[in-house]
Amino acid sequence: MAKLGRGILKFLIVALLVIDLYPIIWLILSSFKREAEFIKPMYMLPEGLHWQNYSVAISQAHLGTLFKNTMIVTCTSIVFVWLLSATAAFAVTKMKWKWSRLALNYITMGMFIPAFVLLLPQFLLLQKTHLLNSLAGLIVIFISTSIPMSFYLLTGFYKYLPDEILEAAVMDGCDIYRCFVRIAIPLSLNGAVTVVMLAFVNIWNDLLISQTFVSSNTNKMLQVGLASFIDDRGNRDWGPTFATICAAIVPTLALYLILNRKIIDGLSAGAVKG
Amino acid sequence: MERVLRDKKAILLFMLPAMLVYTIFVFFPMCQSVYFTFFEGTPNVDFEFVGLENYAKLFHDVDFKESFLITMQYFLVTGGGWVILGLVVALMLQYGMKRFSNLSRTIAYLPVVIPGVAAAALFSKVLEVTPTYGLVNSLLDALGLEQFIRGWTGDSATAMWMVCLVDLWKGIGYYTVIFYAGLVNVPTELEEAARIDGAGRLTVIWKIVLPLLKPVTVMCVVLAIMNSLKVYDMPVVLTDGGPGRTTTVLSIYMYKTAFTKWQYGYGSTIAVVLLLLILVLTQAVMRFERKSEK
Amino acid sequence: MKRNKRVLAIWLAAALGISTLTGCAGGGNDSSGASDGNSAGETAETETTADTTETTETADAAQTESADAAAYDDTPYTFKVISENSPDDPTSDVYAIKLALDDYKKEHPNFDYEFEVVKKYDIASKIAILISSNDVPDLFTYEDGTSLDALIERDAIVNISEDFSRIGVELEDVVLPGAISSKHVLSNYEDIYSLPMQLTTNGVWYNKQMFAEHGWNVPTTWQEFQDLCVDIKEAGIQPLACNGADKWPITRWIMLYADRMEGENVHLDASQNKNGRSFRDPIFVEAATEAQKMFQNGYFGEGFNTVEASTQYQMFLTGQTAMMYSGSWLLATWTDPEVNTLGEENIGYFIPPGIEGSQVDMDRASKMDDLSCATALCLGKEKFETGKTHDFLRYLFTTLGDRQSEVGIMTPYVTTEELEYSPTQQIIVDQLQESLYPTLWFEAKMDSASTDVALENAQLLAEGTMTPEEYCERLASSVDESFLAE
Repeated sequence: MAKLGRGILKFLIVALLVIDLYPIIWLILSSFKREAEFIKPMYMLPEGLHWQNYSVAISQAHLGTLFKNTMIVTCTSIVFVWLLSATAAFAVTKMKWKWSRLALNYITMGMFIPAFVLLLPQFLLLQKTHLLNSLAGLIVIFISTSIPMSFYLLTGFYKYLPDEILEAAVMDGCDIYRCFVRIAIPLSLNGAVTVVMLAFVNIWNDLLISQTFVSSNTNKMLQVGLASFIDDRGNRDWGPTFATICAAIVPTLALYLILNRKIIDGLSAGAVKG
Repeated sequence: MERVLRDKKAILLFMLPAMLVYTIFVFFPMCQSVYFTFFEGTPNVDFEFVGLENYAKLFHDVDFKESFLITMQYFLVTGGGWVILGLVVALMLQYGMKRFSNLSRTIAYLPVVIPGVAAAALFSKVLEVTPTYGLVNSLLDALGLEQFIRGWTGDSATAMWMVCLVDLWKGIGYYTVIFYAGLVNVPTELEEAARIDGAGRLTVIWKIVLPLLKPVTVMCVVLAIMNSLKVYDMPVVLTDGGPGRTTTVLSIYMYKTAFTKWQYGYGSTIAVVLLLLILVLTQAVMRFERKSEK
Repeated sequence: MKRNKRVLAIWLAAALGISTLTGCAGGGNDSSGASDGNSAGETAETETTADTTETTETADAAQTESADAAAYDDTPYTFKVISENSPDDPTSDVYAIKLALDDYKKEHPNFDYEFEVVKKYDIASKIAILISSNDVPDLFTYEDGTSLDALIERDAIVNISEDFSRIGVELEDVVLPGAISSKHVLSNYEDIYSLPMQLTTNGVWYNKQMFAEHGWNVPTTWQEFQDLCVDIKEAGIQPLACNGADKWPITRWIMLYADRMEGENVHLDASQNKNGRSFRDPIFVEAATEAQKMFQNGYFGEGFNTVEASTQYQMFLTGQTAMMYSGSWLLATWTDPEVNTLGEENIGYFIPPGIEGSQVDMDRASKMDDLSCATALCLGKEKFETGKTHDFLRYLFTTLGDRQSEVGIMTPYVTTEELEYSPTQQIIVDQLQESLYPTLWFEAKMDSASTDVALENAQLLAEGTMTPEEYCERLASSVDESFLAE
């Protein structure tokens, strides 16, 4: 009886993982199909590796420019997101000042604000500061909207950083900056990885913000390019479309697979303890 | 020690950059949005002060009511699904698959990192009926279940369910991982003690594991409320709010009202109502937790 | 044999203008814009031949004069364009504009341009944001008809009637008279605020080869058309392709039926509660019922609500469907052998036929057609006022006719070169000649809220979850909210 239950459980788990994995595998396989193969049932394997889909995708969807822009914006943003939210989280959780609780609530409130509420005011603001249509403008917006979540996760980490360690460091003559750099940062590495990964995924995958604040082709972001490519040829050139989608998810997928252990531990630690 | 931790200059240096950026680009814009709710028209062009008229309008706006109910459906099905299925999957991974637990978690989290645009494009192909059968319909066809073949995302009876399902697929992993971490922290001695007393596995989970998971559960519920009420990407790219208005959630209704119907003030009002809803629900859940802790 | 096709095109457009107006005047359109246009149209009719030669001369003269008409400002300038179609696609309607930009840029090193492609339904929101931030692009495409009113009220776009000549050329010298008149019909104001994109006609494209193989004939009555659909369906082929995801292809069938029953203006009148017309009238319930029946009978296949325009073309071109309803903006596509795998000679075209026993006789029905192009070309007012773009705009509009013809668009602009028509282009030229009772698309005169109601509910009507009565009632009450007072 127990054995049967175990078997059913194992079967369910495997089925679940197949559901998670299969669409992605199917997507990758489809990116190698010839146009003619799309008329056949969808579950068929590709007949060969039709790499041309990728060369079409690279030249027609201007993947080069899209990747470059998205890389610049995402990488710059995540560095600042981490730096600004780590310092703030450290100050709020570990240092002693009157308004720390208020500051904590003030910034975490940002997590609850849907992006589209801010769209028009942010647009007007960027325009006034002449940051509209520039990568710098996008970076500023991404940093400011990513801070609340990162800040919140990091406070979860710092809260469980034993005060004794800090005390010992101070005894040894460390000032507060050294405490932060030598102790808080190394001991919250999982948190940093998690914050970086979450911000990376959010920024890399964003459509709404990058679509609204940048209109020139030279500064276009990947998801916007992907959406218009799908719009443009999605229903006639499925091969190149799937190839473009695959290319677009490779960086997040790669980063995730490299960092995955740390992320999962970090995400859980930050959320659970926080 | 105290002196170091009370270093005003350091606090200022640590807090200021984040506070500044956040205040200028998130907090002020939010206040401005609230301010806009008392106006009608287009900012900088023909903005007119109307007082509370926009709020009064909400009460007899049939479309708002419809979108509100759709959002609630989404909240219950997808938001609820994330939490409940996330928990179930985490339990299954913890108790059913010791050997490959790391690999399984990696796979379970995989859909989370896929961009919404890509996921929607992927699933519109998976659910396609015309011009060629997508994955689902061709499987139904192969299994001889022709009567179930349909345009899943274009049929008002199924479109909303499809949006919910695709977002469930994409989101469960996130909650699974959080629950899983909570499970790892449950001390094994407690479980073992209970089992020695003759309790079955399900009883152990029900009586011991779940109560210990409460803080994690609250965390997940808060995240699910937030993410499901402010959903925008998935229904936009998968169905664009259609067919009819069957998948027009509040955020889409807000966006269309503000930007295509030239009612910026009213659009902001809808957004502010949504924001209030999120705040009230999440605060209620957190209050509830704090109270029961005492 | 080479005929001077340009003359024909101009004559056609002139004829088109007149009939559009008489059509609307018959329907009791009392806007002063229409009556203005009416007199213009009549002039064009009486002076057809003279007009033609004159037009060319003035256009040429304008071109040579251009140098001193407005001094060229040599400071660096980036000309911004927003369109729903990609400028890189040779079959798109903005390709000709992109060619002009490229050529102009070569000669003016300080001039540059940016082309932004925005999804059709996002253009309105994009422009709305840009208006709020005083950053409306130099040139953009927008839905014509009542939706333009929002831009006009906010003073965002150039009044073409009044200010076009400031670029150094008269409107009448670059745009065909018929196209100007039809702009007047579309406009709810005395003046016009947008330029035409192309001349269009809408109808049913069919696969000639397939028709011949099965012995099917082009239907001459509505009943024959329905019977034909049944025959095609019985042969195991989907009769019509329909891009229901875009919603408007569904409401067209309501309009086609209603117009063929009671005249080409009945839907335009009902859209503004004019002449005692309302969507509550039995004719609209009947039309909606008929349209619903066609969808329910499976003439448009499964999952039509998910089909996008490109899928629709692909289905027709690969022989998955025997026919499809669409506009003549596809001409450029048909002449491209890479896209058109059927071959140009295998594509036929007809206007949905009339209904026997209705108020509209069969002959008139065959000449009834939605001729207007729903895409308007607008000039951003603020950028225009700087004067920096006038030199380019003059260059653009004096050469657009030739450029559009070259890429296979039925151009509403004056051409200076002789044209050779391809077989499918010839079909459209002939059809434009026939279309003496033109009208506008279903939603053209509706306010934006009613347009939403008409389009969104159409998908529910087609799939059968909304009754024709409910559809009409909802649409009528939405129109009431805007037009009850009138």
